[in-house]
Amino acid sequence: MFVFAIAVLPPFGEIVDVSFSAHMLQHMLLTMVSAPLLAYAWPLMYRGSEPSRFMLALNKLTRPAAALITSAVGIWVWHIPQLYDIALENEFLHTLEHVVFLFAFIVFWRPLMNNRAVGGYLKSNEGRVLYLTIGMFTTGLLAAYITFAKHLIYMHYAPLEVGVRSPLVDQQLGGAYMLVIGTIAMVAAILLTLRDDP
Amino acid sequence: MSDHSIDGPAYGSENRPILRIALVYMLTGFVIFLIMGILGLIMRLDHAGWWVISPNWFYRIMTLHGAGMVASLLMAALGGIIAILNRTVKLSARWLWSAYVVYSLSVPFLLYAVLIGGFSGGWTALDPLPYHGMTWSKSAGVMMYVTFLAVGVGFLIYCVHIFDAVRRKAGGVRRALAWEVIFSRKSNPQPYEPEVAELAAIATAIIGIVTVIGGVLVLAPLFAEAAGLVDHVNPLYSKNFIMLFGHSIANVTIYIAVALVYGLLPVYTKRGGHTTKFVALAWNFTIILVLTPPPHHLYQDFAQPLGLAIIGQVASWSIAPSVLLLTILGNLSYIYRSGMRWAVPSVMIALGFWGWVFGGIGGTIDSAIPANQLLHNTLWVPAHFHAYYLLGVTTFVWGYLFYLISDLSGVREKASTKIAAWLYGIAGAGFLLVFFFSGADSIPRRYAVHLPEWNLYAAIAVPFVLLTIFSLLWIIADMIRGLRGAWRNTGATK
Amino acid sequence: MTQKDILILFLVLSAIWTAIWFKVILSIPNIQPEEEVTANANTLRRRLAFPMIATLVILLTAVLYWSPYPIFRERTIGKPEVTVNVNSFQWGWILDTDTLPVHKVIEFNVTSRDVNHGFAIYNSEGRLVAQTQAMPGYVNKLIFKFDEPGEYTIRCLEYCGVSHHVMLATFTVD
Repeated sequence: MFVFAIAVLPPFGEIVDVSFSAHMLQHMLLTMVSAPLLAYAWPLMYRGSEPSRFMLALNKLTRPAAALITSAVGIWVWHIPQLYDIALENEFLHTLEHVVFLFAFIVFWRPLMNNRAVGGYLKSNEGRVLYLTIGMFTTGLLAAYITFAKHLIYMHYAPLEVGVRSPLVDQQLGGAYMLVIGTIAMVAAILLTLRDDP
Repeated sequence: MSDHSIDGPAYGSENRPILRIALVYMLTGFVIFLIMGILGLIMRLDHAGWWVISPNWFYRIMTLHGAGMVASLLMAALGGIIAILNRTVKLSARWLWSAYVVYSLSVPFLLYAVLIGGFSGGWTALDPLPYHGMTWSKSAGVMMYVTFLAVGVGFLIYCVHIFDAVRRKAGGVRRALAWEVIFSRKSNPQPYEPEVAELAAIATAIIGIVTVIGGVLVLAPLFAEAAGLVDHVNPLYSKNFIMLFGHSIANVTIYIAVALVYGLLPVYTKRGGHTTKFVALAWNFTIILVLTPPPHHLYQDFAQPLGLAIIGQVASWSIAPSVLLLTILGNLSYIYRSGMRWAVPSVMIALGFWGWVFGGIGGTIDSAIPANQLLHNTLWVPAHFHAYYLLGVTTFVWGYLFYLISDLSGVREKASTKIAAWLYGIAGAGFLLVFFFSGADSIPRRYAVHLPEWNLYAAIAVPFVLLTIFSLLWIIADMIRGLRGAWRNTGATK
Repeated sequence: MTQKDILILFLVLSAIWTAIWFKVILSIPNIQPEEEVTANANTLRRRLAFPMIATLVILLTAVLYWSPYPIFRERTIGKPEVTVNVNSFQWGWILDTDTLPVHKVIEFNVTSRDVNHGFAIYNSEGRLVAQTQAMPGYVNKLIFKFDEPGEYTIRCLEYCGVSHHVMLATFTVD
């Protein structure tokens, strides 16, 4: 089952160069679907052996506060227009961007998991709720800003027409995907991890 | 007759995790309420001509203030119910947390819609305005309706769980609604008597469920319109159902709040606490009397079928004898010549009853169609519902929160804080009187800019608002001393 | 009936209620057994219930008769002699005349081109004298008779966006 979780990595498509909204869809799959699954499988790395010092240091990052900051910084930085546009031109940077997203969100989802091996810092219901509430804002704010932006932020898409949509509308749609899918994922996470006996 | 409610604390102390949830509901509501109060002050400062802000920002603040106040006070009241119900009913942490989470989704969406999207369509978001805002995009309007959805679904989860939990405990809906008490027969000398809190909880849960259905019936077509599936929604239809949803959510709050009083007042008066026939009747009537008046919001929409206007008129007026003779008279009889112990919570309760009837007089007058012709959408309307909220709902709910924190922590209130509670009442009364006078002077509601001849009213109101804030801060200073202890004594035992 | 009458009624009833409330508050130290208080309260209930409900039922017919709906106003004010068409939009008013006759029964046909607005007529002293909602897709008929000549102002009374508060128009009655 754990192996299955690792195997679910989304195909890196080519449509992303043309459509911001499709690109966002891909990012959401990365951060809201495969990342949590990978986070669930994290302890696999400890199967049998003692965790290395590197692993232990990495683990510090999954303390709730650190996780929130890491994930927030991870996504905000890459959505800065200049960086975002350059990443679309440069394959290496683009891969780096996706690795950062994946890592940032494995770290983000980790504290919610219940594996005893490492972490599982959020034991109480209220702790989980608070964590995800803050998480929703750190990600949602970015999404909302993009959804309501009155002009094109990511100039890379400026000359391109996506089907019947103008780039601006497509950008707003992308923001909406971020907001909606992100919210659904986070809410589902809370509802699924709530316990009657904490 | 069960009277253990007089002996023990006015909350269920056994199930600590549930109590923690109750605290979270109430504290979340309280914090949002305080922030919304500051927004209210800003609006009155603008009206006084002392700090005139741009109309765009005024209307955004107005939207936040309305939505935030209604939603936060309802949540706080629901939290109080959880604490009291915890005494006698088994509740589920999962369900209550789920309700909290979904309901609270309204916060980010409201903030995004208003602060980033520029939505300023008012908390009532009356169709077609949200989709034709001129200063905000259609998606901001959609996001506002998503906010409604979050509150609706969250509230629904809560109501469904409470309905089920109380029904199960009573062994059937009829018993839970105290029908055996109302229709008591000689053949049944021991009618099942639910606790007042249980009866109130299930009655208001039924109201909540119907309310949310009303909300869904208008939100679905509105979302369909946004998606381009329909051209537009009939404005008469949408107004009726938005009012059914919004009015009922706001109105039911005072009934949920008074349920807290039935549980709390016995602590100070050593009276009451049982479900008499009158109490049972009152709560059953409440179900009808909250759900049938909404047409009174459409008196001046002459296109409305006359029958609906009449229903609204009859229902709105029926509230007066019902509430006065059952709830108010009943609770006053618990206080009258009772030797009631004065403390912050009991002062707040006493103030709350004053404010409820005061607002009710204003409302009963306004709900007379010919009077409404002159008062509709003037400041008389906010006057009446601010009375219900400021010196009704808030006093009942914060009085209960004060008691809860104090009792849970064992930190007793300082004797002088009672003064702050009385000051709150005076401040509230003055503030409300200004509103009523303003409405009688035909000053419109929801105006970002007031004419110079209107400034004086708001100028008089501002000191009263400041006094309200001052007294609240005083009360908070006392209340906060017990917060840590209360938090420690709830939640999972570590 | 004017706003002044309403205000006086409100203040009188509020004063009576406040006096009752004070009476209850001040009675607290003078303890009486609960059963006696409850018995008195129940007697009071039985005595007041019928008069209260009867009053409201009687007032109900009066209330309907004096309502602003066309079928009633045609009786209380009279059949319309002059018709004025009023259209509204974000953010202004269009009337097909800006001078109206005094002492004649006027029928305003009010509608909206976009969102809900509120058609409210204010006299020159700033007092609201009549209103109806302006709804898109519907025409609301407001029947009214002006007894005083002068300048009247139309204010929008249903929140309709950022310029709601300056959505004004004026007309003269002579």
